[in-house]
Amino acid sequence: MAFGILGGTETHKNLNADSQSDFLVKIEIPSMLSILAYGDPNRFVAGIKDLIMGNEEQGILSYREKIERGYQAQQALIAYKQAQKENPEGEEYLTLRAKFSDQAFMNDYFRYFGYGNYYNPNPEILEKNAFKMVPPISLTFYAFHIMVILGFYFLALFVLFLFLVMRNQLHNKKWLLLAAVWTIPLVYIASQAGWIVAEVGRQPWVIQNLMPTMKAVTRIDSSAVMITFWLFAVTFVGLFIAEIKIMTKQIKIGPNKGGTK
Amino acid sequence: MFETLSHLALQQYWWIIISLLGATLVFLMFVQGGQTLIYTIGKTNMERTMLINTLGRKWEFTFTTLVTFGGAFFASFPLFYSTSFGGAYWVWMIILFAFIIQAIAYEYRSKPNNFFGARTYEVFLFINGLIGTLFIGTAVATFFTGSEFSVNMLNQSQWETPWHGLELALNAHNLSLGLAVFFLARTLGLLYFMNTIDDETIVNRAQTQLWFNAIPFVFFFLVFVIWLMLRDGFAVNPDNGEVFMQANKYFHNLIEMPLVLILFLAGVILALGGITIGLFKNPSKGIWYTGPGTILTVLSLFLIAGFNNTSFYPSTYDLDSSLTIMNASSSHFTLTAMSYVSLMVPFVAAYIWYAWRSINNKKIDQEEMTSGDTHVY
Repeated sequence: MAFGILGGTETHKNLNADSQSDFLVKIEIPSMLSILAYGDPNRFVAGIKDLIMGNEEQGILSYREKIERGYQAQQALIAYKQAQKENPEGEEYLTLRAKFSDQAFMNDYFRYFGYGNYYNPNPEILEKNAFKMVPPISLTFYAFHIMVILGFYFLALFVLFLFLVMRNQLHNKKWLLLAAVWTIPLVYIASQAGWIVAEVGRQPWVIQNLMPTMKAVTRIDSSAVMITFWLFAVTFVGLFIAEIKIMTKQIKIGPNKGGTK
Repeated sequence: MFETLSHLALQQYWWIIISLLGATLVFLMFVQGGQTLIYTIGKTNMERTMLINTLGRKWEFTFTTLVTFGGAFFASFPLFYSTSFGGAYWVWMIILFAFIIQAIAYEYRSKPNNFFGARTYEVFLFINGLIGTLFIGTAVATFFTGSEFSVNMLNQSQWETPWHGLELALNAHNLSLGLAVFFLARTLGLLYFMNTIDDETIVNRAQTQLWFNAIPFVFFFLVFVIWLMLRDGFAVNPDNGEVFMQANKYFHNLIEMPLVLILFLAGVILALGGITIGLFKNPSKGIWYTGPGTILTVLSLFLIAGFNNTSFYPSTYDLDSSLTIMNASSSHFTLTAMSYVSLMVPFVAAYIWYAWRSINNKKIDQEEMTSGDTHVY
């Protein structure tokens, strides 16, 4: 997918087993994702529904199964801690302790530890919870493509500049120099878009499969978050103005005899 | 090499590294202490410029040591990091802001067209010096006095007061360490000025000021240490990890670990000796004794907080939630990998020593400030 516009009415918030959204417009490069992910054009690339509902053919467990296994791993840890407190030399403690050195338990259960936070004894709610574990799709999709498109634009621009500099023709192309200046803010946009891909795209995990964001956040009042936000905003806007003023002054002063000492 | 060590040995190794970093940080906070004295010692613009420049050449050492201390703590004892930084939220947030304004103050102060004016940046430096020392000292004191938090069976911690750390500043024992660190930093700052600046007026003023800062330092330090020796401490039963209160725990720790006791006594003697030398004998030599003395003393205090079956981050809300170097550490794998990285520390230390010597090979004087040959803050 080189670029596209997402269609359909489903978002990450109302996905279910029957969701079927497609693109309104798309430009595709066949097998590209398979190459990016595995370095091989013919590998199976799992889609959102493969991941949530599982795909037996490809050996992918459903989220529901992972949630149940993660829940069992959590219960094992709680039992272990309880036993340690009650009798650190007891039979029960030693058995539970051995469990955590057992490769099969670690591979089949413990690696899904974080999924256990979505457990619910009611199977219907559990099924719904599985569909909640999807990051905001359109935000991630667009941010990723903006980042990549800008990246290629930068590359092209630099190649062009290198070419013109080597032929000594850059200095008289005023519009190109202006384009270069206006490219500076695009770098910040590319960088921010990259962070959105990394941080929004990883949801709901802070540690993949082990710790969901909802368990990692500091439990402070939303008012405290707002106060902190405004403190940062005011401080950094103030410092940003100072920085810009200092920089523009220095640029006006210009290089001193071909540069500073 | 490290992978053959037991988990406990690695945890102890990392507690020593954390303690060393903390000790070095307290010494390097002479930068913060010095920043609170810019107006007391510097009466003219030139004098202030000399003071800020001698500190400005060192502030990054302190800043990076602070960041390394936090980073190493995060990697080696993550449960402490998540509990304290998320829980005592406001304390750490205030400290963070105090350091944001420090960094830019040095860079912007003497630049033309700097928007707020030099005076504002000098005030930033003062705020950083005051809050950085007082709050970090107060926060470290909670290693002995405890905080109100709980940790559940899945190792998720939660602060149990709505004040999120501000309550720690109301504890007199915590404050005694905060104030001791504040006056120690000022004392070190003065000794550092006397060592690096070639200006009779400044050296004389600093020597007089030394009295007004060394005496409060000794007073608050004694209050903190005597109180510490007398109070009940948070002991750990090594068999089942149970935490219980033990009378005079920290005094026992010193006695039961004679090497630490020697470090502590040597540190105190060196620190006080350096001050005495600065006051009466050779003003420029005091820092050579008080600096290392500070490192040894703080190192020994960290060691009695974490070693000898002691909880280094106790919970007064629920004793069983207290953190020890055993239950708050990273996995064996992580600590092993990090231990290999730690082998680079001597090289970093050697580099710091080299850079420090290069910066300080000539004392700062008025001539240098106006010559235009050097970077002026």
